[in-house]
Amino acid sequence: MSDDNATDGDATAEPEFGSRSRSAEPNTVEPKGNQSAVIAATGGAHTVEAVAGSGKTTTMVKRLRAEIEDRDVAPNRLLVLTFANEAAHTIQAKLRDELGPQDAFDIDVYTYHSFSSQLLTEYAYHVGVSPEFELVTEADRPQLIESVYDEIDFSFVAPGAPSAGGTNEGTLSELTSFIESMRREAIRPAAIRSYLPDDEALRALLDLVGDLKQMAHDVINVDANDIMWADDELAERCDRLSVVYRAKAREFNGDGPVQTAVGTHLEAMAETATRAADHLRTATELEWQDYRLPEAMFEGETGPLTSIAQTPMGRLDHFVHMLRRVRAFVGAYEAYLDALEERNAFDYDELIHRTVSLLQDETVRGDILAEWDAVYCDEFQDTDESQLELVEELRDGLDIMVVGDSDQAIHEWRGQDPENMSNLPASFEEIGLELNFRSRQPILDLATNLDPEKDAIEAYKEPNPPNVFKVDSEGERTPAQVSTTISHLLTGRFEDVPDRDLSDIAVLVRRNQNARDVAAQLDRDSIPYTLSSDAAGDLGHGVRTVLSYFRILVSPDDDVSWQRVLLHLYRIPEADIDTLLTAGETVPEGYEALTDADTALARPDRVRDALADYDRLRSVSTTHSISELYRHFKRETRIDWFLRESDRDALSNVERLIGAFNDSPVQSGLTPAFVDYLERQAHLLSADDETATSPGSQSDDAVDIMTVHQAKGLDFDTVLLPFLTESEFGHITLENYQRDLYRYDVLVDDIQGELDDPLRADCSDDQIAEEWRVLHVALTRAKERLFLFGNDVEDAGPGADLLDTHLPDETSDTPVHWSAEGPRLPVWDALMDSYDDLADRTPSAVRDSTDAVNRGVDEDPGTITYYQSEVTTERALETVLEFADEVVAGTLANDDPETDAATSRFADAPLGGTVDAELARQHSHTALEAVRNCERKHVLDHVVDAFPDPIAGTATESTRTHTHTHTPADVGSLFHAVAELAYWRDYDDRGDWRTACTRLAQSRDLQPALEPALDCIDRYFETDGSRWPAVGSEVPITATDIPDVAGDVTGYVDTVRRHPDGGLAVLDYKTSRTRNELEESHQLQLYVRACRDRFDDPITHAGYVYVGEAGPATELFAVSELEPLWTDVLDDLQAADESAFENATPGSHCRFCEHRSLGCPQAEFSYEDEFRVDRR
Amino acid sequence: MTDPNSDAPTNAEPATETTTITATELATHLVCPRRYEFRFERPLSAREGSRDRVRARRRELLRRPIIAGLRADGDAAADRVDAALERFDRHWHSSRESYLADEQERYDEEAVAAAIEAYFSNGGHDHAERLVDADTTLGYERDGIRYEAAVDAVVERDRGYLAIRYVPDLTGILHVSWSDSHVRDFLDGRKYYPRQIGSFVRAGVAIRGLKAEFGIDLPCDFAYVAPLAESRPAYEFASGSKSESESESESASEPGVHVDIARRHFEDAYEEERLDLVELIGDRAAAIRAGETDPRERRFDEITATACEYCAYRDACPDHLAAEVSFGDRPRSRSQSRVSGDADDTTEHGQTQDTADAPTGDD
Repeated sequence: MSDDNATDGDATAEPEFGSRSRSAEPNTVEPKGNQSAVIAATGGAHTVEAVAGSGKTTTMVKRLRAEIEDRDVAPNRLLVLTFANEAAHTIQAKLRDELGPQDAFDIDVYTYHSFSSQLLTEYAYHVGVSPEFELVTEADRPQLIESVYDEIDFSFVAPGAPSAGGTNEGTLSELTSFIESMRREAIRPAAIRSYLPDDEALRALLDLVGDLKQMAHDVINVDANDIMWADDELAERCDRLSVVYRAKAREFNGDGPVQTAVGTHLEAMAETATRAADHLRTATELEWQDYRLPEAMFEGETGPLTSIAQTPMGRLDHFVHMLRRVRAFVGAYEAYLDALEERNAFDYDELIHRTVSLLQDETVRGDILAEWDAVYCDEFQDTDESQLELVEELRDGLDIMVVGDSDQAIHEWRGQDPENMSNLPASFEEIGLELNFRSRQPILDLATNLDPEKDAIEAYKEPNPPNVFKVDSEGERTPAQVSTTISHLLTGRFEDVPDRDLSDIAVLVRRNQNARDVAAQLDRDSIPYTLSSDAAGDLGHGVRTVLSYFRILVSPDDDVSWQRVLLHLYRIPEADIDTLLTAGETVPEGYEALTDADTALARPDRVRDALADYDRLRSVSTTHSISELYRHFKRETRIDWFLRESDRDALSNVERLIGAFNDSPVQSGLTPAFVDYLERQAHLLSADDETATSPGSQSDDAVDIMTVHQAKGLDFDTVLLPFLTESEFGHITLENYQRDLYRYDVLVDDIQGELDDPLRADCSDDQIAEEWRVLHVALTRAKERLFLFGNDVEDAGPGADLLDTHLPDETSDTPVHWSAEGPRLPVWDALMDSYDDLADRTPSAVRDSTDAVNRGVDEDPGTITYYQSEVTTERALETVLEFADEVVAGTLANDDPETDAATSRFADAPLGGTVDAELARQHSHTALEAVRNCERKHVLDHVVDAFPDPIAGTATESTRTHTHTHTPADVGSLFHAVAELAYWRDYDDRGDWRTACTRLAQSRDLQPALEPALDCIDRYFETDGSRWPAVGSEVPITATDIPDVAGDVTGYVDTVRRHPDGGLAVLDYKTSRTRNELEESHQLQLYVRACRDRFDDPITHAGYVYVGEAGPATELFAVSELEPLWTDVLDDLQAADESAFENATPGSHCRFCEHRSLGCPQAEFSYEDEFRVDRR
Repeated sequence: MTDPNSDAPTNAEPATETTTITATELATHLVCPRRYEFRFERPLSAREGSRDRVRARRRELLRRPIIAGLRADGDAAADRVDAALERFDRHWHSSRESYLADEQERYDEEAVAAAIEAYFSNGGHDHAERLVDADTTLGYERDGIRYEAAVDAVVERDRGYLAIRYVPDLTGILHVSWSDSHVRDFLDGRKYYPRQIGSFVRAGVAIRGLKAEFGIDLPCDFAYVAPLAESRPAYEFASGSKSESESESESASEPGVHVDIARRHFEDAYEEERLDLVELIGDRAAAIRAGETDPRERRFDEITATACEYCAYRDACPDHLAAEVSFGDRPRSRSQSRVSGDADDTTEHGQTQDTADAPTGDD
């Protein structure tokens, strides 16, 4: 992913260096629209309310530059705060580009957390903590929470059956979510304690709710009492309920706020029951709903009344049980805080709170604030309550500018407060950034039309219709429609829409399930896609194999884990495992007991290896700490080689856990309990917030599928938004609405005094507002084209309206403010209104693509011709997949060669024998070098692209990181990268080159190669070649039509320069120690030939610029000098056309060969121990 | 009536002409043929701490004391409860589970004891008085196969007999409702609840076994009794108020824990669906006899979607492993997930709701 997509509003940012695909815009984009106002603004406090795609971060960076350059502010007097690491890195990168590394480095860019951590470390003694205070990260927190599990009051929550490790998963995750929400909202245990009624009262409430529900069932449930259609009977029974409610209401008069709320609610219920009774008596034509409604209202059983999202009894029931859980967990929460204090540790929330207190401390406040003149807060809409407090403290002493877009606040569930933006004091001067550089106008209009209160966003780009496409779509058909739309886009089958590439297209969804459904369909249709990491997915196979290995280390009798390890890691056949388990109780015992393993087992070698590894690790596990064991484990089993990328990510969670455990006071060895812990927590971590919200990946060669949350900050040429229906898009808020409300939202609001009444207040606005913002973010990701898939709001079903008529209204003493149907989210209706409006004003901007797409959905995929026979596309795909499965299963060769000529020909191919078909060959300079040394190496590296020996690869890598050495290749690639960048950026003095080199070494992790590369730069500037004007850098070349050569020639020319004589010179940089002879210079020959017709002017020279120890020097040959060598080049090219695996030529080149495991190398370079070069 | 603990084919020696197939084998094969293989054909020990094992232990904690109580000498109700609780006490201390918190262990012990007592005061004494046999196996023969089902108690009723199996709760037990085509729907692929169908198969084998033993014309019934169907802290004891409910399943228990009993009878369902059930049993028995253990030949997509997540053998399963590296229809098992928000739902009682195929561990 390139940086210019990393955060919002980067449309005006220059492209990342080196990305050839984008135009190399110069670095001096003029500010547009209101950006100048932001840059020029003076005064103490500003808020920049920026719309999506308005370049807010870029503008902020330009302002910082103006501060430094025009207003002479020292860079280190500027403080920039942002929300996440990701965002901090983006700002740093932009600052480097804008200001150069020195000034950029001097500006303090922090996340809120890193800022607090820094301040507290500095003032640790003043605060009374050790400067080495421990930080409890998200990865450490579960361990801490488990340690307070036994402080749960189990007389208020049933502990349930224990799962592995002794906790109950449900209870533990309840506790975790409770503590996390309380920390997020800065609610202290004392506040909770004083909110809760005392135990006796709470038990009475629980008892009351149970009894009332039971009573309602016994009295007004129409089935249980057989009173369906009995109007008067049911009315009379409702009256009885009313009497009871009223009597109970009196019991709670004035005992405390909670009891008062319950008492008032019971009054309201009494009134509701009376109204229901009246309705039953007086209404003329009663429907079945009228009879079912009382049980919905008073028993909480909504049954067929599907439109009802909340009921009087439901709210009461969930409220009281929330109190019960809170009561059960509050002690554990206190213990959690005590444990933090005892360990001298802060969690992230505490970190911020402490910093706020520090800033409020008059004795140090002045000193701290004196460090800076101004503070800039980016992505301000993402701040939460405590971060806002922090900012407010800073504001009192510093100039401040906050930048954000409240329409993009979509993390409220994580504690973020979208109001932070708009609730800033009036002393803040507001500047709006309303010009959008990303999207076409109709896309923006569609988004802003949704809300009449919202101002229009103006697009900077010229119109280029059509931009908005709608597809009427029903749930089950949607994935197929999405897939068809993508294939239409790829093949240019939509009218007015040019062909799109895979990289142009993204599918954004609300829920992971939707993403999986779309992915499954694209799978079936063979469209490549990338599914950004799935937050709630299961543990990967690789990670489970790792955990299984840990299990057998602590419990050798765990057959299940043995079988997994042996099957997955060692590829041992099941029959062998059977043999082992039959011979002994456990696998190791079975192996001991086998007298003749070589004949009893199909793969004795593998079993031997497996058990040898196991023995070694087991002995390590008895003496070493877990993290050491883990290092050994990784080395012995080479587990990395068995993992997919997603598994490696998940494995890093396991590593985090092991790492976190190491910090605990007692470093212990591997125990069964620890394996349980790992397993449990790895599951939890695989579902943590970070994976749910970290930006998704933007791929170059696949359609991206991700959730809207993952797409925040990204943009795409063409965006598809499927599942825009109320039930799919609103699912998270609408499903279980009443229950989720009492997942502490109500508690928090009530404790903070922001709620009229926990039972009768309407709480739907906040939640629903966030869903609309999510939609806004989704729509504004599209640059050129936006496809909407959805349909009308489903028929809500009966009941809710009727229930509302029974609820006490504002005329009552006890009005109920909510509506039974809860919040609604008619996304499609709203979008279609907006769409129609757009269609009226600019008909060319919109298209109804329903028919075009549906025609495609039902289309026959056709046939293909395979070896003269016609097969359906479907069948062909299936066949290929079957073969692939057989390759994996190792059964591809088992086919009977007589059965089907075409199949057997295909099936035999990978297993040797003669096939006529040859892989197409491509030649390059390095390939020709290889073929001169060894044909086998040429075939492996340049024809079939064979993977290198696993161990050789690992060894090189570990050597590099451990000893901080560099290879000549590192120096070469660093220098070449600098030279290329310098070309694009017009760097022409030595200082620029050196700066760029330092930066690139850092970003590419080539630090050890920096010094030698800087030497190369110094030498370069002493060469003649460096003074000739460049006309190209890293010029890609191809020559396809060389007579008598089958393969094409490809490569890159380092630089093409204008020779003082007038022609062009093709130059190659050499960072090596030695010089090349003319006779060896096939490379130059190739380049000259390939560049012959590429430039307007003729190529007259070719040569080398020596910048390594062989230089500084420019060695140039006239083209006429080179031409006689062509016959040699031709020989090499022909050799490369014909090279064969069989022809191995050992020699000194074997030293760097990555295929030595084949057994062919010169003796001194062969592995000592097969496959293993290094077994430290 | 043999081997009480399990109806595993310990007696399936070639000495007899007939093959014995047990209800547990049938039920396991219904859920996943590979699981059947790992459990019965080439046994792998299920993992310590797996849900199956935890549940199996809870079943043992209930059924052994209850059986001891049913068989207790003396007619006094108190003697039975004492015998049961004494047996429970021994069993509790000899089969310890790991608990992270003492309080949690105390609660659990109280809950099971309360459930045992609640069972006796809700029909258990009646069962004891009319007990025919306890801890036994019922069976019958058909087409050269002997079908067996282990039951915990057989009691005589006014007319006919009732076989009982004690389970901790009704998770995975077919909800016998108005519908009368559970088995047909399963056979025809309309619905997929293999574990629930397995519970019906066990009921069917037991009822047919009762008829074989006592007479084909007698009305015979089978019930799952779940003394620990629900438990929660008893909020009532402090305030002293007592539920006025007259619901049969409700019962007071010793202070601290409140339990609800649940039971499910299968007589009517058996009569309704007997023919389909016979077909299903015959079909699976044939598959077992033929050694068919490849899940890919059954409804593999549905197996991976429902059974794998809870399977104690999942980590060892080659089919599950292979799914990783296959192409095309990769299983995507989790039904749905939230992008945001908190952990999965639990009921008031801290138990996850009965999902499609949580483990029974009943055997």
